[in-house]
Amino acid sequence: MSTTPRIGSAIPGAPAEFGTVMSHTPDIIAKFGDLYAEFWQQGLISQEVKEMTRIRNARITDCGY
Amino acid sequence: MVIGHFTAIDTQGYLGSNLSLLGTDGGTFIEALALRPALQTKYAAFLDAIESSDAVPERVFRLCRARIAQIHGQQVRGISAEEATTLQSQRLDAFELSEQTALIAAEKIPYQHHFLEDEEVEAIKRAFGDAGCVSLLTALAFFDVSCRLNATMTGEVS
Repeated sequence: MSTTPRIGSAIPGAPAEFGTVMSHTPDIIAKFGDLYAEFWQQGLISQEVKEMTRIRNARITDCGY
Repeated sequence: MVIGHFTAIDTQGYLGSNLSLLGTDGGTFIEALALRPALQTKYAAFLDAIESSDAVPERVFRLCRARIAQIHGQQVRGISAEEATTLQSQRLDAFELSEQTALIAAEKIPYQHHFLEDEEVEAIKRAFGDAGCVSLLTALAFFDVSCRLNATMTGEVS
């Protein structure tokens, strides 16, 4: 597992993090934003339950988010 | 030429289907998402955006999608039976160098994602550029997601 960014930011002067790295592919990050917003803002499952499962998933997969 | 290394995984691929990525002709989680039409539409648009990358040849996506499906023991789509057999045997030297860089990452994404090495990502960047690398790694992650959703929603498991 790398501890340093493997792909630089696509935004000059901005640090490499999820959004700035994904900005190398503007259409993909835009569609991802549409999908993620739909997932979080709509549906029958509360945001609290979604967030709880997100955190659990992140822990299981050893993700820092 | 073989670069990188694989950890052998016992997998079983299923051949003979030409279903599309989105499974519009049956049997994948995308059908279940019809219960949430907006989510279905946006998921499909996202997947389409990933595979519309100019930086990565469509064949690379097809090979990687097929290999990840094999690892999950799910139906292999969009490649020939011969290509599927070669993928299953993990004979990387049968593929172009750029394809090899992508397949090395595809091999690790489902269950060994923390073992993807810096130099393996560098090889992908050399082959496809930064934007191509982002497109490819995003594609691999969501090919894996799609297989997991298939297994969860349709019961398609090895």
